[in-house]
Amino acid sequence: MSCNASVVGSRLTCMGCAVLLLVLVGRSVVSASPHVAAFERFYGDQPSAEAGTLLLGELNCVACHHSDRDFNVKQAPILTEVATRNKPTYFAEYLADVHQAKPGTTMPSLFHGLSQEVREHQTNALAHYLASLHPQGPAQDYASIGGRVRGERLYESVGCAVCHGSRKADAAKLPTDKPLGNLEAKYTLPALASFLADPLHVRASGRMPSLNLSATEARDIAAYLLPQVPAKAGLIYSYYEGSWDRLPDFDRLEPKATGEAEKIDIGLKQRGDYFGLRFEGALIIDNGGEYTFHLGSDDGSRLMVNDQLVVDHDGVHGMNFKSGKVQLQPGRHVIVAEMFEAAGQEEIKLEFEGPGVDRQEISPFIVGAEPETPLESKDFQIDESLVEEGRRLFVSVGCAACHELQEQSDTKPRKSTYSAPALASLKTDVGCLSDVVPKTAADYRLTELQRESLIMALAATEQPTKLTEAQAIHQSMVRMNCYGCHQRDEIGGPLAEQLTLFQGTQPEMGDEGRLPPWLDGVGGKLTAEWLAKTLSQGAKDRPYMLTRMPNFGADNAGHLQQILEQEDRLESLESDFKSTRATKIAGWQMVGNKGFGCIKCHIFGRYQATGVQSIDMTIMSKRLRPEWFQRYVDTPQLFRRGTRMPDAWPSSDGNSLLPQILDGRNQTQIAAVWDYLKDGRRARTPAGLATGTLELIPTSEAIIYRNFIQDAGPRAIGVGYPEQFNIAFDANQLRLALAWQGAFIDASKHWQGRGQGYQGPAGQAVLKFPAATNVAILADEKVNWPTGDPRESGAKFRGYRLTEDQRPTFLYEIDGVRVEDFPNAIDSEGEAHFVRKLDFVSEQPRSDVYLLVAAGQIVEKENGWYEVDGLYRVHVDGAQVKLRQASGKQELIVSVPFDDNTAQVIQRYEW
Amino acid sequence: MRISLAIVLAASVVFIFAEKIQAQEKPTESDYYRLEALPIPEDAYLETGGLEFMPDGKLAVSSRRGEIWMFNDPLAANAETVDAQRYAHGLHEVLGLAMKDGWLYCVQRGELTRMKDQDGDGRADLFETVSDGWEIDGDYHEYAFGSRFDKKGHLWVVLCLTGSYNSNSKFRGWCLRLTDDGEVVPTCSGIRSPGGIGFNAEGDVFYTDNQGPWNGTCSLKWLQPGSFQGHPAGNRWYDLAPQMKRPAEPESGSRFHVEADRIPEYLPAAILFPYDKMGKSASGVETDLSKGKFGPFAGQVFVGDQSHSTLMRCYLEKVNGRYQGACFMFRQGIGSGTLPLYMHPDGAMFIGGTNRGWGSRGGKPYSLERLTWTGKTPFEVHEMRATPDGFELTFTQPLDVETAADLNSYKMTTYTYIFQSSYGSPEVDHTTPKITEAIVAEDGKGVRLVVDGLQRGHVHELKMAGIRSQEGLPLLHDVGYYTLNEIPKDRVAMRRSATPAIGRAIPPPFKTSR
Repeated sequence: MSCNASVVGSRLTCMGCAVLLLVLVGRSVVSASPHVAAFERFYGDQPSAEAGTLLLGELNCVACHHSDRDFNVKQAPILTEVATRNKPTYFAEYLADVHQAKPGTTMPSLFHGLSQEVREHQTNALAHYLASLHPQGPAQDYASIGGRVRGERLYESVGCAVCHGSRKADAAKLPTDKPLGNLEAKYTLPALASFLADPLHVRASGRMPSLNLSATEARDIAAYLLPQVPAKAGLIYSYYEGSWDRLPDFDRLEPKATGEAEKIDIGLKQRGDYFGLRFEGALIIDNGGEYTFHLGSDDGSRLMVNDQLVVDHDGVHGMNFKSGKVQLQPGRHVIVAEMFEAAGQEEIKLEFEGPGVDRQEISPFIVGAEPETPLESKDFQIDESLVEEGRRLFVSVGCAACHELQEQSDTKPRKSTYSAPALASLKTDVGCLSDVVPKTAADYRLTELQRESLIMALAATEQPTKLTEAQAIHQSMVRMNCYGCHQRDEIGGPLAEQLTLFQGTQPEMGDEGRLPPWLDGVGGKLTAEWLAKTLSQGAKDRPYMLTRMPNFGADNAGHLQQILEQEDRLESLESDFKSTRATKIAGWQMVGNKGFGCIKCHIFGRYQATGVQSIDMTIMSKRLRPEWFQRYVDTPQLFRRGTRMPDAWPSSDGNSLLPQILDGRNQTQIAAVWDYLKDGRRARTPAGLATGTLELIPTSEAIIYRNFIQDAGPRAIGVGYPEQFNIAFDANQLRLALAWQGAFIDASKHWQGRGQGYQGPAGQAVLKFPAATNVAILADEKVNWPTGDPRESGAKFRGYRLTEDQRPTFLYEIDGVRVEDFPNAIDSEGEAHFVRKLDFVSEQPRSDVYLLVAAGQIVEKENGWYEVDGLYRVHVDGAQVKLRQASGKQELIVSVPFDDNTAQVIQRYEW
Repeated sequence: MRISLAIVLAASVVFIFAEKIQAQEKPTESDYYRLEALPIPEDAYLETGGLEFMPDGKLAVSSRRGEIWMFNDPLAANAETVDAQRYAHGLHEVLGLAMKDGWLYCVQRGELTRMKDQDGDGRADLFETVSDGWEIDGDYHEYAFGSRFDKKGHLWVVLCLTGSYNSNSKFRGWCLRLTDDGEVVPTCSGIRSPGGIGFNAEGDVFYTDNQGPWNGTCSLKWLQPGSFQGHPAGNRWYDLAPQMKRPAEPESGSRFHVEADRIPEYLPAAILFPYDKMGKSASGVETDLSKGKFGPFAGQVFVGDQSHSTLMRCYLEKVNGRYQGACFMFRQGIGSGTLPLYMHPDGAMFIGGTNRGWGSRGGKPYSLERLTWTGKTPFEVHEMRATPDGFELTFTQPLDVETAADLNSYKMTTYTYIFQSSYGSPEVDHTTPKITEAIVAEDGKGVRLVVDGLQRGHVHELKMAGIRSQEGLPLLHDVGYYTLNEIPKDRVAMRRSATPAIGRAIPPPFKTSR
């Protein structure tokens, strides 16, 4: 099989090409010859006229060699704003040897035939001309602190890496990877960001499509691609000390320290209590709209945005969040966050959310002031004497034949005066395609395979017959490299080596949740409007898929809509369905949890599904054609092999599994569901979506809650006591993990839906105890406290015993020592205390059993009390306490005092 | 004249036939098996996860919210009089209960625990961790289903993977046997997403696995110690099971029987439940040990389906040393999504239900029901056995010889599923074998079908819409699905099953008000 047959023939052989690629993998593929991904993927083995035709378009041969044939050419970058984009030093470097400066470029060298002296003179003249179009050159800026990491994540997941190759150290280098050249020499950070945000503006033919990046995303990817641009924290902080119970006016106070901060937190405090912090920085907003800021602090705090008070969270209080909303225009906004700490625990956290931004910490998004002095000196002075010559050369040597350039916004693009023979009359042995490229011709550095393919394409003198729709679709998908992500009719789709580039947010959806959909029949699936929108604007309909459908531009991909529609058309199914109130109700009922339960896996507008989060049901009727929907829900597996979409109407006799709904017929019910979905966002919310909280409230007895509890492990045992104290015991680590006051726990996370993830305490004043087993065997009191899983050293959790009112005594065993651990809340004379009693039993008296009472910042107080981290105080009865320094922190330990073969230690807590 | 006579004759045949049926009133499942709801106390949100009888005759019912309730006198003639008290709370999603030596054992997500009421106030006050030899880590999918005790005193657990694809925590995707003293015996790997575990009459252990990766459809699988059940994600833990041999990796896109021939440890499903035709989420596994008190199916295995809220019936036989067999629909209309099953030797099947997280046809959020035999014998296929050249069927009622011998009464198709790493599979490789003979047994209660074109590795779907009983009734359920992993070499003479052995401990006799 070969690839040089007809379009249809090449479809059959694409698998062969893929196999060939596997052989090529591992070899470095940076080569000077023009790089065209589809050529590498589908035509890499032997020359063909079809491959040559592809190259005629991708190399834009007809820019010089006139032809009436339409090759859907790849237009060269528009140079109108090139000097605002590229560094002035880059032009001469690039033009001196385009193939070396940018391996894989489809631009030919025009100067290879000249003497070195003349060549340097001419390329210099061109460089000075281009630079003179914007003498100050592109502005440079710092990268933000979190930008590079975010940029890498985006580059590797949204689709960049599919065409340009993964940049991870261990990634395979593939022949299809389009090289990026030396970006650092070419772009400043803002310039590359602005190109990435709208590549079609410069490269109009859509071979580099737009991924619809926000300005921040584009900046982040640019920061990742330009590692030498320095990163700078955007935050300025001031630190104050003093004793307040409300926020002071920091402007009137002298700060004890000022400087740059990486993030908004209390890491800059110089003492544990009685201090204040003020942070200032700027946030760049991409989408205008309402933003919510969540300010969490202990003690008081406030947030100003553009001098306007947005969150007032003043006064002495424990760590909790308060939120405020503000309308913001796109652009730069000054953020000022202030906090103070009296005594005890301290914390500040600032999170935000808004249009297109999920709730997250704000610090990584803060940018600094724009640099006052340029980040890099410009070793480039425009030589006016060269500019005019460059200007002439631009039109005479052929630059203007390919590159559009308007000198002023109101002038016409410059017109090329370079002339070359028409395509139809080309002699392949004297010009660009001859064995040795003559001095007068453009040098593309074609490979032998490319050269032969081009010659074969030119030899096919006959005007090609009109392509069938299938052929035209295939040709466009080749040119735009749709096949890099999508398979259609068993051609294309992700390469085996690239499968890991496609990621999803929901592993439970498997490949369906991460690989872009097959495009078989897509023209019969999507409505004309939706398909046109997808092709010309890109799409993000699949919330679980990280790879984005790019925007190829209406001019480049828009034509596909019509031919896909014609090729994939599905007949309408006959139906006498009439929409009534009853059918709407039936549709509503079927979608909800008392019907077919579609809501268990599909998002409905603002409501998350209870299981996997699949495509939003409220956009379905805009997106899908009814005739496709009817067939798909009837037999999902036929339309999407391997889909998790279940077959809700499986019977072949047409009778539904829900015979009581409408007439009990499959087709009527499917039509009713469609009719209901047609109401989109206006449709009545399906039953079973709105859920509330399930707070567990201990009244006369303790409540036990064994589940995944945050900071207490997967085998946590939560206990809520009627005295408003609560604890969580970690049965894996054999430790008291948490203690808190007030409300016990909200069980709704685990008791509604499937119950994924960890739930934290519902109350306040949460104490997190050391993540180490509480009882250990130590050779002496200097030995480091053991870390890791105590079960591996033979410790065993043995369960618990309950008092009559359900209070547990935890039972465990360490090296033959049995421990009975009874944490309890006690109400004495109207005042509640928290006490933990530990009883030890051993076969014989021992002196190597130790108890870890506390770790952290420990201060000894009066009467045997110790204060830990300024958060709580602990007292030990029945044993000598040892405060020791170990592995960089303080630990309070007790050598368990055995009397005969038993021992008892009591810990009392206050907080 | 002749024509009209023919019409009259035909019409009268139809009339007589119709009358015959009408006289019986068109039979439904509830004519033979009565389904009664047990009243659930208002303060119990009883998303039922496990069922077990206590020595004092109470039925212990565990819930996904971690409670255990004791139902008093669950065999009472009037189900509505059954009441219940809470025995324990605070446990982690209990999907398995078992009684032994005065302790009630429960399988929580992360451990096997046993409990006791020491002070006799009706509430457990001592909870002992017996084994925590596996891990969990915050993933809802990491369920643990527990069996009752086997004859050697082992309790078996099957551990769902982390999600459908991975085994991120220790022994996820495995079956373990646990002893009283906490010993963990790794027993099988290759598990994906169990819905229940139980014993057949011989005491062999089976679990249900669910449609998903490496499982083209739901199935009943035999947990033969040492075997690999098909999903390779859990194979990373073989280092912790040195006595077991790690199987070769299955090839995605292959077929069950092809991989079974290649990988000796791989045990294909004993019975495939064709997706959507026989449910979508196979669940509890239980055997009829009532020796006839539950009707004619003594010794057969019953399997629930959570999604369709049904109970299915399985006939298992061993061919070439491996179990395979047929499944039939048995009873529909369970209140919620069927999950645990418990068959009392007195002939009552207890059925628990939940539909949290996965939808079910039974619309209630949870249910607890009792299924009993009315004493009327339904006309059903009793057993369906593979022979070298076809199948042998026995029936619960004498056959109408004419329809049973008529080849047009039967329709057979075969198909299988792709054994693949991606989710589920469509039915594939369809064939239509030819039934060449239908020979009615001498006792009039069996048929031997000679089939041209048996397909190894395929489900053989047999529709028997034309068969009538001697009384003129159609089959109550007229489709059977036989999973033909192996075609037997020798024909075993048609026989009745011997009285089944008892696979698990049976509760001691106790007084009931019945």
